[in-house]
Order: sequence, then structure tokens, then C-alpha cells
Amino acid sequence: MKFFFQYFTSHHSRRIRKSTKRRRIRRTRRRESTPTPTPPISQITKKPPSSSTPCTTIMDLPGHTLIDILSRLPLNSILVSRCVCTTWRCLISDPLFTYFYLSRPQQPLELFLRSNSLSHVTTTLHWVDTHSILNTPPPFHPNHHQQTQLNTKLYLPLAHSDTEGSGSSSSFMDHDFSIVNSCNGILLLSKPMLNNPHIVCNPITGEFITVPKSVDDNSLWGSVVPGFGHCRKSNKFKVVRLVFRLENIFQRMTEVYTLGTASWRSIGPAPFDLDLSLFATYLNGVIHWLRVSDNEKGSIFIVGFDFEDERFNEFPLPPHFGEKHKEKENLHHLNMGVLGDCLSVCDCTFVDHMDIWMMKEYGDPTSWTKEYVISTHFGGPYRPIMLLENGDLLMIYGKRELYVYNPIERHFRFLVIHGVQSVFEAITHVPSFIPLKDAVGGDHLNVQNVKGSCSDHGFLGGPETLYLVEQGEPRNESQLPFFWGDSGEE
Amino acid sequence: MSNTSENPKPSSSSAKMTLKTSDNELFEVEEAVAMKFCTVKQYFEDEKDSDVAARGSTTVIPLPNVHSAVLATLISYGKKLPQSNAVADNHEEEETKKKERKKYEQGLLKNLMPGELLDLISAANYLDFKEGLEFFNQALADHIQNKSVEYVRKFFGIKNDYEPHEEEKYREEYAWAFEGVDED
Repeated sequence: MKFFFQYFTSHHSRRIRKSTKRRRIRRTRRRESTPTPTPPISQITKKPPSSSTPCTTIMDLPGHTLIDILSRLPLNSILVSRCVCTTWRCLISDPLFTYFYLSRPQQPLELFLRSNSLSHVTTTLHWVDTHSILNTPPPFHPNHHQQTQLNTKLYLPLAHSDTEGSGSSSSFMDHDFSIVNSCNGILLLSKPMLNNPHIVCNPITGEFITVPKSVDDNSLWGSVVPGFGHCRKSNKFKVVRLVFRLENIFQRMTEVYTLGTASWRSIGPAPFDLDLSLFATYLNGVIHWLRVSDNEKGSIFIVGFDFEDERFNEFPLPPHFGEKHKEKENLHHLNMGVLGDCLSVCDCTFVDHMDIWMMKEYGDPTSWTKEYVISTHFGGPYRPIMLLENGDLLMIYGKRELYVYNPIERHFRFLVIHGVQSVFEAITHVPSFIPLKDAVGGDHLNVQNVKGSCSDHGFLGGPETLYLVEQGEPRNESQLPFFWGDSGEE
Repeated sequence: MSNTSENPKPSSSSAKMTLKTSDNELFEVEEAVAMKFCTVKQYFEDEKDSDVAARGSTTVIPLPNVHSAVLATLISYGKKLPQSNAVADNHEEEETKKKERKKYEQGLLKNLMPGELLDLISAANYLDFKEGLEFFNQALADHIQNKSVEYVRKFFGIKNDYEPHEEEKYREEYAWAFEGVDED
């Protein structure tokens, strides 16, 4: 506790300047319509003497109290607070602040979009302000449309900023990463094709760490199934990958890399064979995949790898889930994700409706609840993404359209994503401004920053801007899916 | 004075304590409420240990850092909290009490001047009144949420001690965070 007290008092006294001429004053609009104006504390003189209390100023509060207050703010306000004065910036950089901030119960989940076509290298994550979408009323007329520009962009690192790889390959395929999953404000990126986990990054701070190659990486064969997660008890981040090695191309092996350590460790054979890494979903310290078993019935399971115990377990799905799928090709009509802190699976294999299930008690298969049954004209690639703050369900359809479903009114708002490309992926992520070295810990960390190489984005054909276009008023669920035929927009 | 747990209704608990504020006002408070102020609780327990004959309502606990107006608000907030020695209410009563508390909290915040809020936080911190600190800290955070740098500085009367280029650097680093904030 002494640490910030020293900062607190010494900075405060050293840096106070008598003149405030240098302070930039932006125009301060006084909104006349504010019903209860709150005068600044510095100007309060109106208390009658009998009830006058000694007026505490914010700087009189003990450092840990101010840290408590600031740690309750949303991310953008914390970043604003850093600029208020140098004392506040020091408090926010204090480890106690990180401790308070990470212990807050609800870290808000945010939505990001990324262009995902093979012909276009995309390192840009476009932040979607779901809060403002909810607060903007939909168009009230079928022919009206409104457009929102997605202004806030974050950038993922590029392959050639890795010191080893420079000049080895100029193929654009090497520069594009797949996003494996997000955990506690950090993303795992893996190289395309092979899917070998490669980079751990925080898109808010722009920092990234390259995962070391293992000494025998050249004996890897076939594609890799990666996953990323956090161990709450030991407070470590780990990357897992299921690989085939040339020594035995019929048995998947499990390897784990703990961030901050020097190398990968082999855990042993993987009890399951996952041909494809389907819907890698992180929740509660476990990474989950959807798996179809090889037996005749083709029954589907959820496989989980617990990062703390470094063990696999299996969960059954709800009864009759996905029974309609006959071959693996139809698995894209099933998907898995997290909704409202529960593991959730969606079955779109029906012709006239889709079912969304949630596992209300994690780990208890009897708690699978069919939470939503939504009528559709015909099945299709609907994928639920997240529950919004007002209870609406946000979904993506066919990699281009966002639906906001109101379960009470049973109607949809329909937003089309417009950009240079026409294929997008939606990522949910909890933004965090905690520096990687504080979040991850450990000694073998080489943290680089993508912001140093911003100029490289010119190489990729320039920054792109995405728009969300909403056409017409909300529609009933029986009108799903909507066709874009009459708008003429592209 | 023993902590009587026989008595179901805290309002008629006979155990009371007297607190004396910085402006020499005396407040008689039920023990159950006063015990939420951990500083008071500690003082009380120290008194018990030192085997003082006169206890309870005759012991006056001095609070030289707390003004009467502030203590009054903290006590009245403390009364609204669930009491630790009360008999558990059934679900309905609990819900009603929760709603009442929410209404009280909203009313309290509406009439509060910002300077008073800081005084309350400072006093709650001194008294080690955890629930009060939690509530008032959150109230202050809610107030400065989504506000601009200038607003926060003005509101608290904080002097900007940044060099202009330094401040510019921090603003540009996360430029998106500064868009869309309220100026007032």
C-alpha cells in the first residue's frame, strides 16, 4: 500500500503548477435541459453554516479508495481517467488497480467483426457498439434504411513482424491468421492451413507474444487443433494443441505450452480424435469442441480440455440434438458457443425452425434447457453470438447478416454488414487494457507491439471500413430468412 | 452488554451505543447498526477486553474525523441494510425490503451534493463501513462514467499537471476511448 502513497503525495506536490494557461480548454456546452445541474465541487459554497461539513476533495481520499472507485469504471472511462492528471495515471498503473479491476464480477463482452475471405488479408477487427444499436430505434418503414459506420478498429499482428520469419515467405497466406478463441481479454491466433498456434495477442494494447516453436515442429503432420485458456487457481495462461506426429500418424498427441515458460510439453495421447477443430469455445477454464464420434450412429459429443488439470472430459448433448444430420458435412448446421455465461448449442438442421439450448449448470448434462425455438423458413447457417444487455439475442447468418432477436416480441432486427469483402466472422471478446506481461507473468516473455508496425497496413491494400445497414422495420420470426433482393445495395 | 439474538425486530433492540462526532454531537445508535462500522466495533471490543465496568449506552465512542451530517446519513444507510442478528425473513418480506432499500438509495443519491458524496466516502473509509463504502464508491464511479477528461477535472477541481505533448500521447494511444464521451 505504501507504493502508491508515495506516488500520490510526491507527484501531487511536485507537479502542481501555478498557472493553468497550458491547459487546453475544449468548448464546454452547458446543456440547459439538464434538470439537476451538478456544480463542480470546487465551486460549492452554498451550504448554510449550520450544516457545513468539511469538504473532502478527491485528492484527500486514500489511494486505495480512489483505486477502488476508478476500477469500477468501464474501459473507455479508465483510459480517459489516465489523462486527468499524472497522479491518476500512476494509480491506474498500480498492481492494486489491476487486482481490483480483474476482480470485478462482470467484464463486458464486446462484439468485433473481421473480414474473412481468402483473397484479402485482414488484420483489422472492427468494434461493433451493440449498446448504441440497441439504443437506436429501428427504421419504421420497410423502405427506410439506416447505416452505422464502424469507426473503432483494432489491429492484429502480422507474420513478418516475427523476427525469425522475415523474408522467408512473401505469400500473403502467411500473413493472415485465424482467430482460435478469446480468453480473459487475450486472443490466440493460429497460422492458416496448418492451424499451428502461433501468436497470443491483446488487440486493445496491440501487444503480442509469439508462441515458441517446439524443437520437433518439423515432425508435425496434418492439421493442428489449438485452444487457449486460463487456469484460475494457478493464474496461468496455456495453449493446447492436438497434433499428429510423423512417428504415429494415427494417434493425436496433446501438447501444452504455458505462457511465460520456455517450451511445449507433451501430455500424452489425446483420447479423442478431432478431425476438425469445430467451434473452439472457452468457458470456465476449459476449452470445448464439438465432436462427432466414429460409430455408426454418428453421435455428437462435446469434448473439453481442462487447462488446470490438463485432462479431457466429455459432455453429452441434449437428447435428440442434431439427429437430423446424417453426414459430417451437415455439421455447419450445428454450432456451439457461449450465451450469457452458459455453454450453448444451436441446431439448425430442421426445415422450419431452429433450437438453441443452454447448459444452465455447467458440467451437468441434465441442465440442458431448450431456451429458444425460433421459426425459420428453412434451416440455414444461423449462429448465435451473444446475449445483449437487454436480453435480446444477437446472431449471425451466412457470414454476412446480423440478427437481433427479441424473444418477447418474437421479432428480428436485421443488419447487413457492408465492406469491401462480403464474408465476415464475428468474434466476442472482453477488451482488457492490462499489459500482457502483467496478465501472463513468467520469465520467457518477449512482448512486441503491433503499433510499432502500423505503416505496414499500407501493404495490405489500405484500411477498410465496415458499415452495418439496417433496412426496414423489425420483422416477425416466420419471415426468416430475409432476402436482400429489393434494396439494390451492394 | 451482550449481543442479544433473542430479539426478532432490530428496531426494538435494547442495546444501544453512543457515538460522538467531530462537532460534538451525540448519536445514539443500535448496536447492530453500529457494529457495521468496523472501527467502532474494534473500539467496542477493545473496551470489553480492557474490562471497563460501564458499557453499552454509557460508553461514548469518539469519532473525531466524522461530522454529524455525514454520520447521520451513514447511520440511516446502515439501518436499511439487512441486519446480521435479525431473524431471517421469508422470501416476500425480503423482496419488499430490497425494493424499499433500492428506493431509499435512489432518493439518497438524488439529493446528494458531490462534495457530500466525497465526505461520505471519506467517513465510510475511516469507519471501515464496508457496505457503505461499496455503495458510495459505486455511486461516484457511476457519476463520472463516460464523461470527458475536462468534465472530470472540473468536477473534482483537479489541476492538469501533464505536459501537452504527454497528454496528447496518452489520448492518441487509445483515441477510440475519447470519442462519444459526455462533455457535461
